[in-house]
Amino acid sequence: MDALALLCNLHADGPATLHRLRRAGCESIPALEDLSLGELAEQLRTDEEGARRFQREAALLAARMRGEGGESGVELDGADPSGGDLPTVATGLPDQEPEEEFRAPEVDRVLAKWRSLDRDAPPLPPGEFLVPRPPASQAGNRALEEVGIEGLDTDLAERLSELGILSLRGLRDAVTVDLARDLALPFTRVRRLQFLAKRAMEELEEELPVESEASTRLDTAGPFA
Amino acid sequence: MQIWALANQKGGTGKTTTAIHLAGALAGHGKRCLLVDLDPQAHATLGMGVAVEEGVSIASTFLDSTPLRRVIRTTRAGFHLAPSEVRLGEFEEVAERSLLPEGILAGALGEVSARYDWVILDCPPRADGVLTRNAIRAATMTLLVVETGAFALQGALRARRLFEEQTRELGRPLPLRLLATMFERDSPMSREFLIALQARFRGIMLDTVIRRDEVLRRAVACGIPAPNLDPNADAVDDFEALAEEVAGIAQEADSWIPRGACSPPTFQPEVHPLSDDVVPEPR
Ligand SMILES: Nc1ncnc2c1ncn2[C@@H]1O[C@H](COP(=O)(O)OP(=O)(O)OP(=O)(O)O)[C@@H](O)[C@H]1O
Ligand SMILES: [Mg+2]
Repeated sequence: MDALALLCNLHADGPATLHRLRRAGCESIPALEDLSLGELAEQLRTDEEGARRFQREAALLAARMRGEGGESGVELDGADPSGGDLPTVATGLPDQEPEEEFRAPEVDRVLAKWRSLDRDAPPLPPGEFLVPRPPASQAGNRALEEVGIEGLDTDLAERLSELGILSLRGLRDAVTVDLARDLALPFTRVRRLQFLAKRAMEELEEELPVESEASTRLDTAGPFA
Repeated sequence: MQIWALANQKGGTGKTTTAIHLAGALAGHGKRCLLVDLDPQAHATLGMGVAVEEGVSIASTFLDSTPLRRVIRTTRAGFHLAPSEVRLGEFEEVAERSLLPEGILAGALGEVSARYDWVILDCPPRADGVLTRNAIRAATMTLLVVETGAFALQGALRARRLFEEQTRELGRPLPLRLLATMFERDSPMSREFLIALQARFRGIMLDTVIRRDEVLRRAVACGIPAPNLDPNADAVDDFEALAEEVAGIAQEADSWIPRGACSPPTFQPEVHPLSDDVVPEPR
């Protein structure tokens, strides 16, 4: 981790910012000076005030590193990486707070998703993932073209239909890795589409009546009980 | 095949959380990935919500010479898991009476090497124990997982010294990287720890830093990986970045291996326990 990477982790979005800066030809803290305030703001995804703050932090960090004898010259690199005297920061902090009890709603949503996966491809006995059936809702049956999903144009909808994915539920429940491969799209883009499909279903569910109120109690004590 | 051992003799630094989510992120990039739970506490196994059939775990490989492929399970996160159980703890004692006990894992992984692109080893919090020595001997890279909290620096330096002692025993260089975890950008203390770590370890420290994110605690506690809980969480971005960075490091390391020696990433995750027939064949 060089000084620029450290700066990005401390005062920006970490590796994402670092990649953008490097792509813009900025490889070190001194090289930040070659970027105009506007260019820097663009790379940082912030406004000029944010960029100015980042520049200030950069100058402070560079000065501090020189002061501690850890950094020298243009690249601000080259300290003894093997240890030696320790900076005086690692003193006691309060103990970590205990794990609290929780019942997060998203846990229920994930379990519901896995239930539907289990229904489509039931695991072999002894049924490690024995879980209840989710209440069937009509929202999931809505055709993809009927519902506006950001980033899902007609071309993509067509390719999905060729893969047999026609509905919100079909998109939501598809295996992301497989879908990314079949569509030759980045994994994160596919996951985003699936997230949007899921959200659209939830929004529709509030408007549409639920077909049947199946129990959401766990049938059996599975690993998630 | 890349084999990365996630280690630190300090407990609770995020080794298991990182192992699970790095394996998941690599699998998400189409890599054929195996996570080996080397901790008798079996936190990675529990954290994946996998119920272990007694006697079918990595403990059987260490204690009864069961072939690794017989204990491997599939997971919901797209990677395979060699689960652990408490019985694995017995191996520390058995090892004292064995010949070359620290070579068992390397031998077992050798048998499945054509089937995976990546193996992630989740080590117990004992850098000098025989299980961690197995991991380091088998690994192509040791990743020191360091929490950006109290005593991080001292812990990291001690771990590094321990690993270097083992390097001498091994008689080959020990590639070592350091990953900072549980970073809190809003906490001045946490920022100081990160600066201190970078000052000492910049040459081996990864650019990616894993931020503290509540979703990770929930993920491990529920046995559901974070991307399934909240695909937009900071932690998901951090592990994506980590997967990209380690893949880049691996590519550099592989670039002097003859072309064709690495299999292309065309792994199809399965959702059932594996038997001999369903272990994916290399393509
Ligand atoms: N980035 C993070 N953000 C929030 N919580 C985290 C993070 N990483 C780990 N944790 C939490 O910190 C605790 C310890 O993490 P973990 O079990 O991964 O550490 P470990 O190094 O494997 O521990 P051990 O040494 O006992 O094996 C867990 O409760 C975990 O959920
Ligand atoms: Mg652990």
